[in-house]
Parts: sequence; structure tokens; C-alpha cells
Amino acid sequence: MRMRGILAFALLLAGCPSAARAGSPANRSRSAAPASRPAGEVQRAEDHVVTLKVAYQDFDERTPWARRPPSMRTGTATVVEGRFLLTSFYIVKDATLIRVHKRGLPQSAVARVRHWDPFMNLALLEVTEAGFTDDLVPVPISDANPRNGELKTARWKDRQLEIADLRVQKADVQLARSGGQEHVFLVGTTDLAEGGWAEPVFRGRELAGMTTSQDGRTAYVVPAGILAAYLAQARTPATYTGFAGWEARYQVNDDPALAAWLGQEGSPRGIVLRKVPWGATGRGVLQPRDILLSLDGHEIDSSGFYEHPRFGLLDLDQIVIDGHRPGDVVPARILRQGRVMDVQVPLRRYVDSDRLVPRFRVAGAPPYVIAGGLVFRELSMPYLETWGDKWHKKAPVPLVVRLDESAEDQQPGHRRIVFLQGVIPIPYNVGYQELRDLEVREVNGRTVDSLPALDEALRHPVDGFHRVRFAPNGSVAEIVLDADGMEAATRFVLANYRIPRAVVLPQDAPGDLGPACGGGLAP
Amino acid sequence: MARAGRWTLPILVGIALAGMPAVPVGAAPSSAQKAIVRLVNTSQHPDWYSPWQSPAPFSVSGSGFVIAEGRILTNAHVVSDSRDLVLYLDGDSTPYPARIVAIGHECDLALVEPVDPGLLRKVKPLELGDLPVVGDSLETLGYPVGGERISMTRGVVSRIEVQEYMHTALFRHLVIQTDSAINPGNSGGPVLRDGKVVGVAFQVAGALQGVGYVIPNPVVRHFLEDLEDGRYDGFASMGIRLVSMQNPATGRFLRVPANLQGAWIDKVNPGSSADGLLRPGDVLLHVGDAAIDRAGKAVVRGETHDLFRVLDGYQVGRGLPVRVFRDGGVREIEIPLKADPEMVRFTHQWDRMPSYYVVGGLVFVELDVEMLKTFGSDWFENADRALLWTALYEPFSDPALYRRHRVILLRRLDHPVNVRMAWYRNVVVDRVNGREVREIRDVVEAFESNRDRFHVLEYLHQGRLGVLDREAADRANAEILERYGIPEDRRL
Repeated sequence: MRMRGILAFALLLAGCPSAARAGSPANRSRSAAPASRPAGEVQRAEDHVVTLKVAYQDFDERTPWARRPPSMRTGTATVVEGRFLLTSFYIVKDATLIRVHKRGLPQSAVARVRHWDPFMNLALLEVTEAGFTDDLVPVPISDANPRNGELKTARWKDRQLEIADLRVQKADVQLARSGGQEHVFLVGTTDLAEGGWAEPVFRGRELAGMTTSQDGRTAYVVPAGILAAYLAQARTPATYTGFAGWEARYQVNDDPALAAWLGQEGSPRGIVLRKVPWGATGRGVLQPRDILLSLDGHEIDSSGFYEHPRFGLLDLDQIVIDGHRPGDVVPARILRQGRVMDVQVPLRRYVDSDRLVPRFRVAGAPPYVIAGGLVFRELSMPYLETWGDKWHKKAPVPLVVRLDESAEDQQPGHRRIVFLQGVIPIPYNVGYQELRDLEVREVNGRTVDSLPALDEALRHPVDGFHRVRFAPNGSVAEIVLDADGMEAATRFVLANYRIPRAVVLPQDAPGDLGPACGGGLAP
Repeated sequence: MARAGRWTLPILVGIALAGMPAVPVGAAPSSAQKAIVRLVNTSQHPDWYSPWQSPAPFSVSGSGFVIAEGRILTNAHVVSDSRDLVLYLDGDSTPYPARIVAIGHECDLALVEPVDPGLLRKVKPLELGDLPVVGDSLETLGYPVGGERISMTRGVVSRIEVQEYMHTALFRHLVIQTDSAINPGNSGGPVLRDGKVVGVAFQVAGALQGVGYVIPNPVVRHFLEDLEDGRYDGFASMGIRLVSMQNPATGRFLRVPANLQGAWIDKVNPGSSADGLLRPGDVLLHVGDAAIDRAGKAVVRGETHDLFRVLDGYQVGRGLPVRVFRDGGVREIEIPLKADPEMVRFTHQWDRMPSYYVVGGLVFVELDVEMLKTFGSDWFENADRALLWTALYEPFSDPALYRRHRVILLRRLDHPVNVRMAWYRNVVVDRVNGREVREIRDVVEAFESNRDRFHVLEYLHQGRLGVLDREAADRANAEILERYGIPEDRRL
């Protein structure tokens, strides 16, 4: 897993573009007067590109019942077939109002999200005001190799259309923003300052890609093939199946001693699987210490690369993205205990909510349960990020290691990490008010692996007490509270601290993956 | 359990020197001044990253004072890792060779003596006094920076309580806090009240102005009495964890009568003093002469203190009387006290050479705080999270792991035999050739007893593997040691 993409995104988040920023457009064209274009006239970029002004208000992950002050972000969207607007998920995340401006004009219309895929960082919007998009022209999606030819990127700024060159240096498989799904990006140098906010990338008059982040002058572009695959499904959200993901963990097979120990003769080829997480593609078929030699007909080298017909050498993660959907079955060739075997691998979608520690909070308030002043949460990366830029170093070690292992540890009965975030002081919880960030294992004798499970367990006190047991490495093993007083204490906390609700359960509870995801093969 | 802040707060006040300035003869010293010496220790702390290396020595200057029998009391951190030790008498620039009699790292105290047994014959030892009280005036004497003559500063006792001793960054004992100026070089010097020693200056608060700390006489006496049989046994630990019973529900849950108060024992470390005698669920009511309050504090002379305050009054080997509430009744139990040697790996370590094993160019060491410190001064932030977890948290997650000394593959000394290994730095080794690794000797034996074609390393995290061709590694061993200048392939 490479983290470069995350870094780039983090940098951009700190530098959200504003109307006052200075930029030096490489090329400018006057904003045209809005007028219906006669049929057959050649379209220009201004016909395809609109500006999004998004009012948003996200939640305070430290104080999950509170919202942060409203704020504003500006991005770009591209008009695509059906006069939908294609943009990135992060531009419209936590939106309270999305306004669309065309041709750099101050007048705007309201848009709403028709569909989003947070893990691919893509979103499709539709304008609710009739006729607003009539003079805009959907851009065709390019089918050419986007690494070749002259590429331009465009956005509206200061009522003018900025058009800048973009020169692709390489294609690279990276994590989508904030660590969603891995897929190929075009990485190139752009002349556009402070871009990366969903600017379209044109090849001639076709859409060759869309930026989703920018680090200095290095832009990361989702290529047209992925955009086309997304649009093909996103126009009908009810049947959206998303993209297949590759989450099996592996180590490179460069070492001849390792390869020989695993029974491979000759030069090392393929990669050595370390773990196939619960619910992931390959679970139940592939096993730790298999050498994966080929997938979907692509030979895999000892570093995990394959020859992509368009982009050259790419990480094998891209294989399950290209031309496939979850549910497809692809052939794989493996070496297991010295024997070459051909197996069929069903592809599954990357589902962040199935992780032990989710990396996203897609929408809505952070879930929590307040019981007698004790604040319980489910561990997530957004919570850890409240420790700031160096959260990986600053956040409590027992919680951080859970994130590091989250993709590998998820399994039935161990679906989320529930922890006591802290204690809101009232007389009822005296003696426990210093406790914080402790992993909860059991409540009233019941295993707790989600907030709903905790909420349920709190309905079943034992002999008049609520007993909360923590992970054994914490500062305390167990605490006890009077069952009789808890309800009144919770009401008192809500009233005294003006907290609107005691319980907000997760909207993205882990799915029931069923026995097929286990396949009977213990990791 | 270890915490981030634990490792950073106080600062020791020994001072590293570039050279050794001479002490000029001055005016006639007072009787107390004559008993105060300056110690210069040439120290050599091992390099845990290259454990076979002999790092550059450096000099540390501190203070000490003569106590009974011509011996000198000072701080352990002044004379730790000593390769050469000299003392200077007040007003005398002659360096007199000295040697360490005993060193107690847990309490940051050491006893040294001049090699010449007659050197201190005419020096009147300082006398130990009683524990002062808050507000008492104190005088701090020693040889701090800023000059070459003896220095004296005055202040008052501003607080007396149990705090962490920075020398190990784990052990906690009573300290006297004072606003008397304590500076680098004061370490080991006496702090006097009415001409009698009330403690030994030893550390300051890094972030606070005018806050110095003194090791008080209860701790000093524990150290000296410990040595009376000629052997240093250290400080005992009970090996229990106490949980507050301030919440009234806990008393009802444990069915403790309302007239009793104490704290809930929720954990007993395996192999500790209390193991087999106390058990989780007991309510600790009394320890020694001290009642235990609902917050788990010991009530001593009407004041609440950390439980270590009571333990410091007992030597290893003695019985500690405790009273607990268990199964509806009060029980009196005597606990034979012992020190817990396992705690060393969670502390800064001194006067100990790191163990290691080099095979096939792979460097194995045991995982402890000294190893983590190879990540630099901000090691708690910079060390790999999985290593930090394994070193400082995992031992407390399962009794079976408390005494397991995790071994890591620290690094690789590049050679064709190992250079294509995928994982070779800071990875915890769970098994070698199928053998569970419980200490570094297991690694050695697993390598040396293997007759298969390959050596197979199974790492603890994420199912990672490392493989070496056994015969190729065996053939390369001597060459690798020679190439990288390693005199011995192991220190166990």
C-alpha cells in the first residue's frame, strides 16, 4: 500500500482554493455570453466546465454531537451525458448546499448529489433547476490512450476560463483520496496553480480524465476509462455495484530463497500472499503462502506488477478494476505447496465499512453512545486524525495499531473496535472520569464489537449493575456502574451539557458478509 | 503501563563535560563543605543499534558527599556506565581515583569510595536527618555549572510526594520538591536542613521554573540498609494494579461493608510478589501501617500518598502485611516481597551490555526501551507503532506474554546471501525454523540446530516471512563479520 496519494490529498485539504487566490492562468478565454448554441457548432471547454460552490458543515469527531462551523469549498464539475455533472466526492462531502455556476457568471442554480462513490472519490450531480444546463454540452469520454497527445485542463476562475497544459509523466496505481480504493492514476505536471479540485482533463474535445488532487504542480488524474466505467453505473444509482477491489496482502517474491522454500523452481515469479482478509476478493480461494502467478490472464512479476496494455507496468490491484465489476469471476494461477493450480476468484467490492477500523465517515454524524456520561465510539481514521497532522505518532498507540492491522483483523465477532472515548463528569460516574481512549471488549458479559452491540448490551444489566470490561492492556480491566441510576444519569448529562441525543448509531454498520466470504480457510 | 509523557518530564542534573576543569584551592571550607566532593565519571553507554561497537566515552560531572565509613553517596546517573571514576575534594585539584561500591538504578543512588582507603579519614561524614515538612528551609550544596567552587543555594520544601525517577523513567518513589536552585552538576549533592542531610539533589522539572527534586532520606535509608548484607537487592513491587472505588457502585458490586474502604485489585502480575496471594477482585484495605483509601492511595501520617511510599519502607525479602476484603470477610495476608526483574526492559538501562546475535548478516536483538531509543530522542513518537505496541503494551495484554522477551530483526548487514530479503528491519520475530521465540537464546538455538535447506523467519505482524539459504548463510557468516568489523557474532 503506498501512501503518496494520501500525502498529496492532505496537502490540498490544507490549501482549499478560495476566490482570492492568485493564479497565473496559462491560457485565458473571455467568458462567453450565455446563449443557446446552434446545433452543429463546435463546442469549447466553457460549454463543458462549471464551477461548484459548496457550503458544507462537517462534524467534530472529538465531540460527535457537535458540528464544526459551516464553511465553503470551491471546485469544478464537468458536464457529461445526460447533462449530469461529474466531480469528486470530496468536493461535495458534508454539503449543505451545492451551487453551480456556468460560464463564470455569478448567477447559480442548485444541484444535488445523484450518486457518489466515496471510495473512488467520484460523484455525479444533477441540477434541480429546469433549463439551467440546456446551453451546456456534455463532453464525450475519450477512448484514446490518455498518456499520449496534448492534454489540457480547465476551470473557471475570476469569471474567466483558465486552460492549462498537463503533461503526463507516468501511470501509477495509488489509493484514492484518504485511502479508499486503489486504482490507476495519471500523474503529470500541470500549469494550473492550486488545482486538483475535479478539473477536467481534455484530449482534443474529449474528456481524458479528471483531477482529484494536486501536490504543487503535480496533478493526479483519474483516467477516462475509470470515469466511463463509473458513469455507466452511476446514472442509475439503484443498480450501482461499484468497482471490485483487491485487498489481499502480499509480499514481493524477489528472494530466490523464499521462492525456493515455497516450492518454486527457477527465477522467482508472482507474489507471495500473506493474508486474504475477511470479505476481500480471493477470500476462501487464495491462501497465505500461495504464490499468485497470474490473475485474469495477466502474468504477475515478483514485485506485483503486470503489463497493462495501455499504461505499461502497473500494480496488480488494477487488474480487478479494468473491465470488471464485483461479482465477476476471474481466473488465477497459483503455486501452492509446490503445485501449480488454476482457480476461479470471485471479485468483491471494496467496502470500507467492513473494515475493523473504517477509513471514512461518508456522511452523517459520527456514531456514539452516551450512557451515564460514558462516551462510547467506534474507532475510525477520522477520529484518529483529530490528533492533527502527526496523528499517527500522537494518537494512543493501542488505537493506532488497530488501524494498522484493521484490514487484516476483521472477522465475524470482531467487526469494529468500540472504545470509551472519555467520561462526561457527573456525580454518577465519579471515580471513572479520568478514563479515556480505552478499548471495550465486553458489556454485561456480552461481546461488544459495534455500537449497536453495545447499545443492546446496556439493555441487559447483570444483578443490578452495568459492567464494562476493557482490553487487557489498558489502565483498568473493568468498571461497574449502578444499573438503576444510568438512565437518569444519561438524561442529566444530556440536559446539563446540552447534548441533543444520547445514541447515534452508525449508518454504515458492517454488512453480513455470509459464510462465502470466509470460505472455511482460516488465515 | 508506559505513557508518552512518562519519558519526558524531569531532567537529570548530572552534566556532560567536554573536559575536566581543575578546581583551585580556595578559602578554608566549612566542615560540611569538606564532606562534599566532585565526581567526574568517564562513561561509555553501549550502542543498541550496533551492539558490538564500543562507542566514544564521555565525561559526566556530579556531586557526592561523605557518609559513614568514608564512603560517598551520589546519584546512580552520575556514575552509570562508568569506565573511569575520579573524585575531587573541596579545594584540592588532585583527581583521586574512586570506585563504585553499589549502584541502585531504581532509586538513582550509588555508593562510591576512594581507591585510597585513607583519603577520607579526616573528613567528618554528614549526618542523615529526618524527613522535612513543607515550608522547611533547605540548603543545596554541590558543584553545579557556572563556576568551579562549591555552590550553595537556599530554598524551601514546596511539596513532598511520590514521583517518577527519571533515571529509569519507570520507578516511582518519594521526592522532595524544592525551589532551591538545582542545576546540572548538583546531582548527587546533599540537601541540608539545620546542618543535617534531608536528601540528595537529583533532577529538575524540565518545563517548570525553579522546581528541583531531592531524593529524601526514607529512600536513601532503604538503599543503605539494603546494602548492609553486602548485596544490593533493589526495590520490591507488589505486582498489583489498583482501581478506584470512589464510585459507590463498586462497593456494592463487591459487597464491601460500608464501614470498610479500600481499592479494588483488578490485576496481579504473574510471578510478582502478590501472585498466588492476592487476586483480582480483592479489595485492598491496608498495606503495612497505611490504610488504603477509595482512590487507591495510602494514608501515611494523615496524608495520602502513592502506594510506593509504603513499599519503600520494606526491603526485598521482608514480609509485607496486607489486609484485604475477600469473599465477604477481611483477611490478613503477609506477602514476601521481591523485586521484579522483568521491569528492567521497560526502563532506561545502565551498566548492562545489550545482547545480540548476528547470523547470515541478520542482526537480532531483544526488544526493550533501549532498543526503541535507537529511533532517536523522540523515540516514543518516532518508533514504529507495532514495535512500540509489542514492547510496551503487549506484555500487559496477556500474562503469558509478560515474561516473553520479544526479539526483533533489527537490521541487515547487506551481503549477497541476504540482500533480497523483503523484510529485514525492525520486525518482531515470532518463530525461527518453527521454534517459538521467547528470548534471544531461542533464535540462536533455532539457527544452530537447523539442518533443513532453509532458515525460515516468521514475523509477528501481518504474516510476513523471511528465508535464508542455510548453507549459503553458514558459508557467509565469517566473511560478513569480518567485512562489518564485528568481533563476536553474539552476546547473550
